[in-house]
Amino acid sequence: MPKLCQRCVKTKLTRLTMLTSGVALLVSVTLFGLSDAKRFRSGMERDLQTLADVVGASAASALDFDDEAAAAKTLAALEHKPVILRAAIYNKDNKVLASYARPGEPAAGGPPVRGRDGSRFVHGQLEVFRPIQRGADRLGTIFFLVDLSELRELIVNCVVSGIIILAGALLVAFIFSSRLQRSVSKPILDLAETTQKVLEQKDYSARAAKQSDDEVGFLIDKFNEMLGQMERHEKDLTEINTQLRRSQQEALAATEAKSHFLANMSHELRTPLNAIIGYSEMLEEEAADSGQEDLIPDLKKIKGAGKHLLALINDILDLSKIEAGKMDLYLETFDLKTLLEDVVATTRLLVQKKDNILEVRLSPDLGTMRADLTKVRQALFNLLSNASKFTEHGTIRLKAGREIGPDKAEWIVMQVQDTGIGMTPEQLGRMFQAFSQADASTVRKYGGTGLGLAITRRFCLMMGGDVTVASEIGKGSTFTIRLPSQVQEPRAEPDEKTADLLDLPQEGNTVLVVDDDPSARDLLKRFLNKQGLYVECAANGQEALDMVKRLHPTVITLDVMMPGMDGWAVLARLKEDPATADIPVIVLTIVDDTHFGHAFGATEYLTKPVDRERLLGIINKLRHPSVPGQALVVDDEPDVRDMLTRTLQRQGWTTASAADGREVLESVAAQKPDLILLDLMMPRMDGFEFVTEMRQREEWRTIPIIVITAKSLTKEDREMLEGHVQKVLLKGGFSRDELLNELRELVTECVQRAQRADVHVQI
Amino acid sequence: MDSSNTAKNTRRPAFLKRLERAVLLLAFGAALVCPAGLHAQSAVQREYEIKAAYLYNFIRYIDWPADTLPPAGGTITIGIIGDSPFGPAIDPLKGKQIKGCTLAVKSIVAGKDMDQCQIVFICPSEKGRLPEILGQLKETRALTVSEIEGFATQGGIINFISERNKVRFEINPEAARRTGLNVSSELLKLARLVKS
Repeated sequence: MPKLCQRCVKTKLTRLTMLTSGVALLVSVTLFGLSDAKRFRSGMERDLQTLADVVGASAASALDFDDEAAAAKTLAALEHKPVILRAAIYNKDNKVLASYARPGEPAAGGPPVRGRDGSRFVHGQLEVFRPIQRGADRLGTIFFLVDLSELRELIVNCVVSGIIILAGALLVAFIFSSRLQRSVSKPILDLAETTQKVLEQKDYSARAAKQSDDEVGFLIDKFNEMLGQMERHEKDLTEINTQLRRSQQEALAATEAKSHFLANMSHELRTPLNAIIGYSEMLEEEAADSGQEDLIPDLKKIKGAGKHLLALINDILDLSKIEAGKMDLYLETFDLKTLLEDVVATTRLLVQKKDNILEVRLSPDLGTMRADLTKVRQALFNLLSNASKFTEHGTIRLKAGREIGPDKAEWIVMQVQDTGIGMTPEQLGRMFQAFSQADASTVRKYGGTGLGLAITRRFCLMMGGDVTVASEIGKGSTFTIRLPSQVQEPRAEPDEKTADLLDLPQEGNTVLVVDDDPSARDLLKRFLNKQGLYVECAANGQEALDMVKRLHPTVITLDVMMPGMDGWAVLARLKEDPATADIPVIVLTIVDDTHFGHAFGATEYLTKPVDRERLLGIINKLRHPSVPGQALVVDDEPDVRDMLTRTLQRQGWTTASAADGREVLESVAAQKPDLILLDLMMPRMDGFEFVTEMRQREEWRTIPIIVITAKSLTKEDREMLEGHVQKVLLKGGFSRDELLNELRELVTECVQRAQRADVHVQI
Repeated sequence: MDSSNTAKNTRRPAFLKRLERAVLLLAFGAALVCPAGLHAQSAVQREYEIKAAYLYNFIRYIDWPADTLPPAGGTITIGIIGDSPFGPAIDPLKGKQIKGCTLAVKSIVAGKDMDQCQIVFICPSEKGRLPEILGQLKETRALTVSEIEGFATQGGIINFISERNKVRFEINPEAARRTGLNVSSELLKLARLVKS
C-alpha cells in the first residue's frame, strides 16, 4: 500500500476498499479454513472408527478362541496404515490379547490400560478405543493411537494457502479499487485543484469541470456559481478601490493645499497685524510724549483689538497644525518656577481686569522640567485667561507641584481653580472639543475662539500628559494639567542637545561661581544659565584660581566663607595678578561688611541670601558697559522696516535697512553692522538663505542675528536656524520692551566681545 | 459369569454368606493339607471350561446344511459319547441361545440318537471304539469333535489339542466337506489343518 497521506481522497478511498475487502476475505478464509480442518478431523475420526470396526471384526474369531497369534496377525495388517502408531486388542476381561507398534516406533510401555470408548486427543495424538461387538455381545476392545502430523500438516497447508489466497485477493481488490475510486476521487481532486488555482492566482474566472450528475457534480455547479459571484464582487471592489484611492489622493492633495494655504495665511495675516500693533504702540508713546493724552485710549483699543485678532489667528493655526499632525515638540529643560512666574506676570493684568484676585501657591520642590516650553506656557496661559474670562470679583488659584505616579515616574501637576460661573455636566462633556464653548452665547458674551481648551488638551496629550476638569455650575471650575517631568520625544530620535545651555557662547558670557556649598553653587548656576549665561563652578579657592587662568571669565561670584583658602585670600591673589586683576568680582557673603570688601578690590558686595534680580542686574551691568551701535533691519515689508527702524532709533541705535538678503549683500555689505534684525519670508533671497550666506563670510559670522518672523517655524526650520541665530521672535508675539531688552543684551554682548578682541590684540 | 455370581451372592441371605465363608475356610484348609491335588483339579476344570466355550463358539463358525439345522426356536443338541470329562464345566452351555436356537447337552450312546445331534463329542474313553463310532457317524450331518490324538486324521472334523499349555484345535476340512458342513474361513485360520 502507498504511504498514507491525510489529504488524499484517492488514498482514503483505496484504503477503505482494501480494509473492507481485507476484513471480509480474512473472515471467510478463516472460517473456511476452520471448517475444513474440522471436516478433515471428523473425516479422519470416522475413517479410524471404520478401520477399527473392520480390524475388530476380523479379530472377532481370534477373540472367540483367545488366539493371540491370530489377533497379532490381524493387527500386523495395520502397517499399511502408517498413520496408526500403535494398536491393541483387549479381550472381554480388558486384558491385552495382542498389540502392535508401527515399525520404527518404540513400543516402550506397551499398550495403555483400556480406556473409555471413543476418541480423544492426548499429547497431540489421537487415542481411539472402539468396542468389538457381535450383535449385542461385546467381544473386546480395539485401541488405536493415531499420529496427527498429517492433520497438522494439513492445517499448515490450509493456513499457507489461506494467506496466499488472501494476498492474491487483496492484490486484485487493490487493482480494482485503484481503478474504480477514480470515478469518485477524480472530480473531487479536480475541484480541489481548481480551488487551489483560484487561491494562488486570484483567478476568479477559472471554473471546475463537471463530470457527473451526482452530489459532487452538484457541488461543482455551486462552486462555479460561487466563483462567478466572487468574480463580480472582485470587479466591483477593484472599481471601488480605484475610486477610493483617487479620492484619497485628492483628499491628500487638498490637505496639502490647505496646510500650504494656512502657512501662507499665517504670514499674510500676521504681517499687517504686526504693523497695526507696532504702530499703535508707537503712536501711543508719541501721543504721551507730545501731550495728546486724549488719543491714548483709542490707540490702546486699536492695539487690544489687534492683539485679540492675532491670538485668534494663532489659535486657529495651532489647531489646524495639530490636526494635520504638523505640530512638533521642541523639548528643552527649563526651570519651572521661572516659567510659572513668567506666566503669572503676563496674566496678572488680565486677572485684575474683572476684579479677580490671583493666588499662587508653588511647591518649593518644583525644580526643572523637560518639555516643550512654549506649549506648557501656552497651556497654562490658556487656563489662566480662561479662568479670568469666566470669573468676576472672585479668586483664581494657581497651584503647582511634583507628584510621583504609580509607575514611579515624576509628574508635574498644575492646577487652575476659579470661583467663576462653572459648568453643567453636559457642558463639561464637550469642554475640550474644538470650536465649542460651554454655550454658543458665551462666545458673544465672553469672546474668544473656544479653541483655547482644545489646544491645551492637544498639547498636553502630545507631551504624554492630559488635562482634566471638575466643575460645578455657579461655584467654579478646576482645571488640572498633569505632565511627565521628563517628556519623551514622540519618536525615537537621538537625544539632541540635552545640555543645550552648555552650548551657549562662552566668549564674553562666562560667569565663574566660587562656592564650597554644592547646593548654593547649583542654584546659582541654574539661575544664571536661565539668563543665557555660561556658568562654570569652582568648589574652593585653589580650583577657582586655576579656572580663572584657563577660562578668563567675564564675571566672578565669590563666596567668602570657604574652608582652606577663603574668599578674601582668593580675591587678593586675583588682584595681584595683572592678567586677572581687571576681572570684576562680586563677593557674596553672610557678613555685611561692604567697606572691607571694597578695600580688597571687590567690584560688588552682596549679602546672602542673594537677591537674584539684583545679582543679575549687576552681572549685566558688568558685562555690558557699552552703548547701542549699528543695527541692520532686513524686511520686505516697508511698514515693518519703518517701525523697527524708528523703535531702534529712539533707543539710540544707528540703523540701516534692506528689503531682502540680496540687497544686503549687494549694497550694505560695505558697512558691518553690530546687529541684524531679519525677516524670514522675503522675495529674492529669504532669511534662511541669507543666514547660510552670512555664515560663510568670515567677517560677518560673529554678527548676532535676531529673527523676527510671522512664519510658524517647523522643527526643521528651528534646526536649521539653531546655532546661527541668537533669538527668534514672532511678529506680534512680543512687546516692544521685550524686543528692546533682547536687542540691548545681544548687542552689548557682541560689542564687548569685539572690545575684548581688541584688548587681546593690544596685548 | 463371575460378576453374575457375585451379584447373586449379594442377594443371598446372610447365613448363606456365613456358610459359604465356612466352606471356603474348609476348602482353604484342605488345600493346605493337599495343595498339589487341589491345583491339578482346578487346572483341569479350567481346561474343560475353555473347551466347553470353544464348543459353543464352533457353532457360530460352522454352517450346517439347511435340512440338518432345526428351524428357529428349535434345539441344537450337543451329544456326548462316553464318559464326559467336562463335569460341571459343560453346564453353562445348557439353554444358551445361538443362531436362534436353544442349546442342549446330553449323553448319548454310539449308534443311537446320533441323528438328533448337530454336534457329537467323543470322549477319550471311547478311544478304542473310535473307528466304529466314526463309521456310524459317516451318514450323519453332525460335527464331530474329540480330544483323542489323531482324531482328525482318522476322519473326525475337529480335535482339541494342547499347544504351549493352551487349548488349540485341529480341523480336517476334507472331513467337514464330506459331512456337508461349511467351516468358516475364520475358524480355519485359527486351526491347525490336517488331512485324513
